[in-house]
Amino acid sequence: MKIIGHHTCDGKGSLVDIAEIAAYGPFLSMHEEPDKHKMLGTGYYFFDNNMAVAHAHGKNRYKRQYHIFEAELALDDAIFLDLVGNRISIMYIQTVMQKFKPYTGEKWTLGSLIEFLKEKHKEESPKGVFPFPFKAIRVVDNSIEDDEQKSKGIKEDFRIYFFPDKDKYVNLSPIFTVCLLEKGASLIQSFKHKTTYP
Amino acid sequence: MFTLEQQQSLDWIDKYLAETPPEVIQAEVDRISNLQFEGPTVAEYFDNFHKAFILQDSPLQEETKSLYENRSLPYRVYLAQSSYKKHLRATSNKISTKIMRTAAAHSS
Repeated sequence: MKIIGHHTCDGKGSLVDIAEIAAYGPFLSMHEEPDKHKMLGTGYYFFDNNMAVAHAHGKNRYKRQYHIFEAELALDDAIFLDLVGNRISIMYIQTVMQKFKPYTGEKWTLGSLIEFLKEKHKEESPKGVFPFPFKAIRVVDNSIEDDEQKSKGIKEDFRIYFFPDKDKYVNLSPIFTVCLLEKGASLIQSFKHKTTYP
Repeated sequence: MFTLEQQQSLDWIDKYLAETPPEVIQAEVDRISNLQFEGPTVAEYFDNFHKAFILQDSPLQEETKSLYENRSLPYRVYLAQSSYKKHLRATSNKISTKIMRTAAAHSS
């Protein structure tokens, strides 16, 4: 599967300019202390083809000074854990979470689960065992909807109703986040500057 | 139902849960949940940088390489140093002064 990914990064400072970033590629987001844990653990984050959210993220996170880069991501099924459009992948994660539930309780985060499996993968892979052979993960961020979405500058209402008299609808502006666990030419086929704000 | 990769992962998890003492599993899970960031050493950072960007045959690097031909530092060294300085800024309150001193020595 090919995906267009939008990567927002800090626009402040003079040591790293646009050409450098284009050569360097996306920046690594670290799964740091608990209050800075990342959605999907440590990795290179992209919004799946969503300039509006890339801008919103830049305005919030980088205080209105940011660059947006556009990447072409090539995600082969064998290494792509797609928790958006692949029910089998979703059921796989549900099964894993269920297995660990006696030790984790209700609040264990997806990022912590992924970090745990990545660590085990690193330990076990020299023995030919691969607990977490994925290099890319995609999720839908349902927490950024409605009020929060509007407050971040996404003013359009993408709630489209199925029936005129029932409150059943589809969100035509879902926010998909892609996290690459590594960056290489096989995953990131291009990485180019898209825009700078302001 | 699952892919081969997913099934292998689940099989490993079953084995891990069956063979590992519960207190060890609990400790490992808790440690991940309370993970603290430790910045990479300079050697690790440069090692990762080289693996990720220099050893790979990336056409992107070729596109931008010419921009740096007239700089006093070799392109790769310049890029690595600049990127590392950026990294230090972003995490300067997390990285020990020892690592920063080593970085300065490395770039001199």
